[in-house]
Amino acid sequence: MKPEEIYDAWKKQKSEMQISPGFSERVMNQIDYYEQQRSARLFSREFFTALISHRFAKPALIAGSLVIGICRIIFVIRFSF
Amino acid sequence: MAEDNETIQKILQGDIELFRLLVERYQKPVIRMVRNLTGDAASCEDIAQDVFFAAYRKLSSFDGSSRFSTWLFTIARNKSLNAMKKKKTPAFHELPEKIDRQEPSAALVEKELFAELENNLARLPGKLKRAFVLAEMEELSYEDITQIEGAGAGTIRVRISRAKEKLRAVFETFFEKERKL
Repeated sequence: MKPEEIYDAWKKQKSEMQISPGFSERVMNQIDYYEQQRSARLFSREFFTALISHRFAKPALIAGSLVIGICRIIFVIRFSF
Repeated sequence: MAEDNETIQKILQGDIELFRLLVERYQKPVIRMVRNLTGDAASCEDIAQDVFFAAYRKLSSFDGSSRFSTWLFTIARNKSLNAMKKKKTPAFHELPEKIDRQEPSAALVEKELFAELENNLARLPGKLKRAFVLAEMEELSYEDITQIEGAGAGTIRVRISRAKEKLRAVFETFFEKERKL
């Protein structure tokens, strides 16, 4: 056998491979689990605790209340006369 | 490429199950690339799983400026490097099965030479090995390799040719030895 032929045979051997069945299933299971965890985190008590204890939580709440209050006043003035 | 981008858009809109299509499309080249870069046949599927999972999590950062496959191979390259660093031992490529001296001489010579090539590939400096594997085993274009490796086309060309030179030397030494026997 010529060196080139051996080299090609080596490359061919290295490109051959068997993937274990269910590889894509394992990846998808991991992704599903990740998504479940992510949505669970979104509605967990820890998430709300972290949200309220954030340093911008109070200013955001006050600002939100102010906007709602102003909108309410405008609505009353505009539609009650 | 357009097909991948369309699939990615749908995944980002919430059709997660479509990611399976991308996994099935690229599992073979990704696992093979990881195996050839790390030389670790035992854990290449675990590393590849990690590659696809990371790709899923970062999918929104894929901007479509390169092909999805190139982007995915870059993640595979980085994960392979991390896995090798974690192991902290040099990657020894899988050797062909034990050499049987009773085999016909041509097959025996081939097996011995394969073993030599594997050893020498494993001993190549990382940059040369990666460029060689991506070009010769994965048959990627120079453009793809430059993006994956983050190096210029000239540098990649030099790395590939140096790797080939070193492996060619294996042939020369091997056949010289064979002639002397």
